[in-house]
Amino acid sequence: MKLNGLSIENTFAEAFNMKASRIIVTADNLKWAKNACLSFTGFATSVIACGVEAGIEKELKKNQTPDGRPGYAILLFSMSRTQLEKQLETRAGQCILTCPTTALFSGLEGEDMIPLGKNLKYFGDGYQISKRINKRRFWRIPVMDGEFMCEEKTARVPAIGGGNFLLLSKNRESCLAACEIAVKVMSKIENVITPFPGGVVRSGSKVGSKYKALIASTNDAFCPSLKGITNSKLDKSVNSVMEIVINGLTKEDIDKAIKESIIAISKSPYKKDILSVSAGNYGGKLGQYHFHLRKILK
Amino acid sequence: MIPLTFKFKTKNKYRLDMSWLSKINTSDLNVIKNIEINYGNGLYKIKELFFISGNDFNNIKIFNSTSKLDNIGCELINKKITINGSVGYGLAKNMNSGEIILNGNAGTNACSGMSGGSVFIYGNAGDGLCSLPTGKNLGFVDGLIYVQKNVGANSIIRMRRGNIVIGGNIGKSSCLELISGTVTILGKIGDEFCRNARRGTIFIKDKSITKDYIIANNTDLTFYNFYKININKLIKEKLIKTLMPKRYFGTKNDRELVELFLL
Repeated sequence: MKLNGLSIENTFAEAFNMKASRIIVTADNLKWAKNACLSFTGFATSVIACGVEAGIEKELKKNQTPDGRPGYAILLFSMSRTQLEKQLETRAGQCILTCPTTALFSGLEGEDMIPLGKNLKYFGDGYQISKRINKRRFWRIPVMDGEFMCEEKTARVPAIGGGNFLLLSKNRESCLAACEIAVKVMSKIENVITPFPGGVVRSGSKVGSKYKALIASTNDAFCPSLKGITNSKLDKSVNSVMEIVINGLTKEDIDKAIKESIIAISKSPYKKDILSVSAGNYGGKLGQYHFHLRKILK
Repeated sequence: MIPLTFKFKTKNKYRLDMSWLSKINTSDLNVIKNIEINYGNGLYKIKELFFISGNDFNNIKIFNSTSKLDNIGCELINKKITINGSVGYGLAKNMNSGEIILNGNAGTNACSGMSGGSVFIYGNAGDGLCSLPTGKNLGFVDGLIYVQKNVGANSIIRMRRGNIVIGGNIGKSSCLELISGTVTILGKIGDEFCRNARRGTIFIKDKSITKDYIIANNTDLTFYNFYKININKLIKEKLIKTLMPKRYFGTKNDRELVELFLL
């Protein structure tokens, strides 16, 4: 299949059931809200070692936040409730509570609630004040710049992690530039994040390793440097492969992100160097969701 | 769906206990029409006292209400009641959830023991708003109350949480033994206000109250803006406008942590 001249392989991305939560971080200005968010979403690329996958979902204007200040929405994804709770609390305590002028609110409604400021309140050492407005409880914790306000709980919802596609390119420069275009398009789509640095992964992995201690290792089939000595899936002319991993709240959100970003690449000047678009899967046996590239782009 | 509508047929001579209204759990209009209630010395069917129509049993409207209709919304759960005219005592007494909109004045002991839901009184409220209900320890547990005009004396006793906004004045001996929650009073405040309070946040315009409180540093508090935005949104009026209120925290005479904002 060709999309505006861009070759789309007949394959699919394999994704998994996850649990997600959304939080809203506000501050006196976007600069400080971003400082907190970058800190919060740091070291949150993959559940393999980070416990949680997180990223900034969108920028919020003053009229979109509970306290009338600018901010950002963050999405967090995890395989287990315990990890999600633990990571949320730890990161909120170390990265948002500590950041000047910030406040923290829930960005999702639902019945399955997990703690957000429930335990952070104890930092107030008895001077914390509880407020309940419209059935939601908030905590005001006195801090040195005034007070840190945070919502007691946020919702946890079912979500999908690991949607992806691979760009197979003649050179690294075009590959990265095309990835940047895709990530920029996805940053404007709600309910999805690209958790890796700048939204792009260069170290795609396969399940298992020759070393028993490792559960994942380099995806040798897509490493251009191993062409010829391994069971490579790459053409002779492919010299660089990069992957974009997409986590989303629903299948439709990920479908939309994949579709719009590949269309954007196909219309960009870099498409001449992109030899094909592929996707990462494990034979379809591990993940509960399959994102067939050609079906999505039809 | 048409709201379930009650319109009083005659000029009511006697007081009428309306607590049956909250307990309607049927979707058969004929069943409602034939419920028997006491009125004066007699036992009447509801259809003999009211014109009844409509089919939305969770959205109730009362027309021609007078100050002799008592206990409207008593122990209400998940229903909306809109009342045109005044009501007697016990409006929203022990209310759990739902919404009551009163386009008129409320009698004594309104919202006594309320534990959830919203009450909007577009008029005055009599003495004992959120007073202690019989056999209970807290006058107001949770929810939202908005009184557009004045409130009588001995109101808001042992408030636990939630929000109360009063657009006018409040009588003497109010906000006694405040435990927590947020109260906004935009008019004058009677004597003996907030005696024996432990915690809680109060927004006032009456400066005379501040003399007993310790003035706090002029720091930016996220909460104020948050409260202003959300409470204005909930009561659908821009009542709180002040940009940076003066804050008092704690009383001079004892160690209670009552917080006061002078708007």
